[in-house]
Amino acid sequence: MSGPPLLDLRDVAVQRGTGAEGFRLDVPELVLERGGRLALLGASGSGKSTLLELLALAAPPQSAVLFHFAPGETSLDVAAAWAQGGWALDAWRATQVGYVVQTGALLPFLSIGDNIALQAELGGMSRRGRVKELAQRLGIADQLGKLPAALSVGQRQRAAIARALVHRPALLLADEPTASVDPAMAAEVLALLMAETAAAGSALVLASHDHASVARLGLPVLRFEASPGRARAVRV
Amino acid sequence: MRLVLRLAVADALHDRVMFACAVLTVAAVLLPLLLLLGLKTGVVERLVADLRADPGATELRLRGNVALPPAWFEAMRARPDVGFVVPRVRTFGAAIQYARADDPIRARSADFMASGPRDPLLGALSAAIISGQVVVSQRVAEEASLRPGDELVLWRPLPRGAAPAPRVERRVVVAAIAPPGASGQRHIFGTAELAGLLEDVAEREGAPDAAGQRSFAGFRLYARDIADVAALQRHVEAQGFEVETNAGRIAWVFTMDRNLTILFLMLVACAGVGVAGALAATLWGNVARKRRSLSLLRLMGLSARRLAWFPLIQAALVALVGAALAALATIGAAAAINAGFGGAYGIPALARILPWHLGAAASGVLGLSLLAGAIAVRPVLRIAPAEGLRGE
Repeated sequence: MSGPPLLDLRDVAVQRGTGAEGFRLDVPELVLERGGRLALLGASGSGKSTLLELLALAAPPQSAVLFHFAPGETSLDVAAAWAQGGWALDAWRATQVGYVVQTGALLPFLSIGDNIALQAELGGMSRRGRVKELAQRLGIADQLGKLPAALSVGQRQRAAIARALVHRPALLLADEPTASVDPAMAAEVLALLMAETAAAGSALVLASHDHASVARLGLPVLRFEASPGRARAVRV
Repeated sequence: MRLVLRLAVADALHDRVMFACAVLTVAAVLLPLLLLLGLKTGVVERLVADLRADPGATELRLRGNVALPPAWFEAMRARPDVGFVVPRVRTFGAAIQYARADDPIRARSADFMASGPRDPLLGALSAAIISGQVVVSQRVAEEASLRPGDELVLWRPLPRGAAPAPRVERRVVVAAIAPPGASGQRHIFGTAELAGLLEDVAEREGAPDAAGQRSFAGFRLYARDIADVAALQRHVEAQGFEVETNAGRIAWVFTMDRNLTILFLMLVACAGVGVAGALAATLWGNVARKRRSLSLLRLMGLSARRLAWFPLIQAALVALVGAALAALATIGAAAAINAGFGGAYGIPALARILPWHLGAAASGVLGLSLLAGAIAVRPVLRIAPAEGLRGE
């Protein structure tokens, strides 16, 4: 890969809450190349989700020496964009970021097909062929007309993967995507994530507390070292 | 905007029970108000129409005889609140006799009524009142078998005990038969000049005019509109004349209309506060319940500004569907009321629903609903995209 890395973070700190309820996460260094992979490994409550929010351009850092996001020709200074209110980040999220969370997180009032197509539309892509193609590859082609509530958890997770990849984002974030499915299904979901991000050319950041499955995938790891009210994410 | 419209509609359809409750709230408040307005309109319109249909309603009837110069009539005609005014001969001097020109021997009695263009009693027929023509009342036409185009001879009977003198006759053509509502009596309508000519004959015999100037014993006076009667009455009475009018009856209708309107507006205000409160609670609650979905939309890249339309569009949807439902129900209920009660009061449309009633109801409730929806805009603007990433 040439050009600047997709994500380049130096000495970024996130503060959530204050006092006894407060929590602070420090990220001394995080570099992710385009199309690269990274696992965030740590116990629950160690700050993995907090870092994912940050990388999803969905929450601001408290301080950052460097926080660049470079999905294409131009590089975005994320810290500066947040300093200006964060309004500019809506369009970057719409086009360059996808995510899969524990429970699928689909809109309950849209059909599976419309849920997937909505992300394509927000990302400024024509949707027809792409939605069908993804749905076929993920084995949910005959579920597109149904509402999320009519699907099994596993099917919803596949739909969420389709939704997260339909607009070919530069970055896919997955937060414990296997937490609510059985082990067999978990392996399948992870395999799909790996295969589909590779097919879409997207970088993958996978948050998990499951050392074994992360080890099986052979991903580089950012380990979360937590102490009460504080955590630090370091390269292993 | 179109994308958010689609999302808002999809959510409303998905959450149709909540949506139907809000729509029914709007319709349930609008329906009785619209019916009440329709009933008020129907009843008041009917009372006003009855007044307007009665030509006597605008009349100012002079009591007794007076002496009025021609200049007085000129001045009255110039007033904008005067609809019609003509001179009239002395009360008992109105008695005349007439005969068919082709049967001059058979004399009959009638009262002469000075008339002229725009006489409210004759309506459009009043244009026929020109020199040499008369309009006869239905009763006169029946008794003398008169048809338009027949010729009549008119004269004044000599006072009892007066010396015999050759009678002065006027030949006139019957231009038209007056409508039944104009007069139930034996009346012949003609120009004031014709009345003067007939009267002059009699007057010359009895009491010659001292000043040598022509004067009239009275007037037939009508206000332009029922709303002008009271003011015109004050003007005429200020000149020392005593007149009888329907001003009291007219004022009663107008006062009732105004009081009913005030009452209705008070009801509208109460209902407005109620429906705005209910909608604000519903729409705010809806946003609170859907916070997860809305934050997901923010995470997917929908800007906060576009998402703010979500509660506003749903508010407009509730208002318009509710108003449409209320309009349909109102039209149906009004038809039922008119079919069931209208006949009993001899009124074809007891409840009158006007298009602007429905339009005003729709825009009023739309405004209130948007106001209520605006309360939900602030929490929507505050929804952070990161909330969409957190599990439930």
